[in-house]
Amino acid sequence: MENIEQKVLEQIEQEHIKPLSPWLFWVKDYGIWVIFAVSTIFGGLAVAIILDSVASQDFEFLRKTGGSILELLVLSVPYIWVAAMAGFFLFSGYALRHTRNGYRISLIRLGLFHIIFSILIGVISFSLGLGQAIDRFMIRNLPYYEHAPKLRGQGYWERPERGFIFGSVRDIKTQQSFILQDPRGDRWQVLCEMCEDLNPDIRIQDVLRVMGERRPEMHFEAHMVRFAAPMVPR
Amino acid sequence: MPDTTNQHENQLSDEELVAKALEDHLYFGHLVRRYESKLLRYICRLISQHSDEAEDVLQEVFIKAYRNLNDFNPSLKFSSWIYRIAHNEAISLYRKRKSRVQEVSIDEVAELDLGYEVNSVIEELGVEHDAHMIRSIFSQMDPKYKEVLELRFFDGMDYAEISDIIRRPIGTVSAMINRAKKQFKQISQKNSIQFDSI
Repeated sequence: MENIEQKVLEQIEQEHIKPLSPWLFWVKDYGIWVIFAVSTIFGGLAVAIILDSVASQDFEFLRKTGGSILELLVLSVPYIWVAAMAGFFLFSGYALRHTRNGYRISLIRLGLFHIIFSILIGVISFSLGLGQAIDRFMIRNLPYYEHAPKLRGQGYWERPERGFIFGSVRDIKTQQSFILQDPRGDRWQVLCEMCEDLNPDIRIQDVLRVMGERRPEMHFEAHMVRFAAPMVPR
Repeated sequence: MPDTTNQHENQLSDEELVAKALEDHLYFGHLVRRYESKLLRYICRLISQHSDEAEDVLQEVFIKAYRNLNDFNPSLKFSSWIYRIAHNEAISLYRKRKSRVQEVSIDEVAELDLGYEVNSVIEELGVEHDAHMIRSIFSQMDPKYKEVLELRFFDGMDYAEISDIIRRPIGTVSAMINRAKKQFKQISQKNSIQFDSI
């Protein structure tokens, strides 16, 4: 082995090599912490939007109609935000792993710490109304996003064979009979002879959820009728 | 300019030498002298070759260490820090080489005089076989297991130091060493060698 010490010192002198500035490492280290913090906060906000979306479902109507909470949850969870939440979780976990001593934390601990921390941020943000505020901001400013929140859970009420229809009122024939057009464009003749607490203020263009029984030739015998948020055409 | 052969510098700790090397590069020579043999052996083991290439990697390791001296974290041992740089450099060379598809046969590796401190393995693992046999077993091991076992037994590193070098949690290092021992045993059994105390 040749004299490595001499070779190294010569190379340092000949190439005028200097130790890199401590600021560079400081910026790198703190940069990673900033990425971690930002992605954790974003992950928490995604949790807040998910909670807001689930909480805004009509669980009372669901309870009255004896529907499945699990099914409604599955249909109302905004999967795009679940994907975003998972992405932020992974990204901030990756950043934490790359902090100076981040490799010392085991993956299980890192995952647990992360999930608890993000959920905590999510719950606090949700209770402060941040989830809803972000959702509204995105509806106003993001093209194509405006329909996303309305679609959440809508599918649950679009199952005539299971006794649920959803749509806007197109025509009112009598106090107890009206035409409802669902998001697919099908028109239902809704009969409300057996309806509980039918609201007399139903007007054309109102969006309703109806629980009852499907009858032949696009007739639907309603048991319960409820006002709903505007629908999204399919 | 400091006298680099001075006894005083030889008594300084690695961390003190790092602080002095930041002011005068000649102090870095002491660190080079302290670690050149150990690191060369480590690099040779990682790249499975003792050649000019290993010495080039070693020189690059020291230059990189010097450039990044301000990144040295005093909560780590200097040895762990510089071994980590050597680890990264050797792995990067290994990958480059792999992409060039230059494979070294198991027998070739076993024949190389890598300067392995096989006696420490013989003592630690309680094996009573020759160095050639042990090198042959190591050469058949999964590189990640081989490396932790070598760091533990050839370089005498503790689990925390290995954790700092390969950037894995201590628990993972411990599990890797256990798996490495099992793999060592399996390969040795396949080769009809009996090691009772592994």
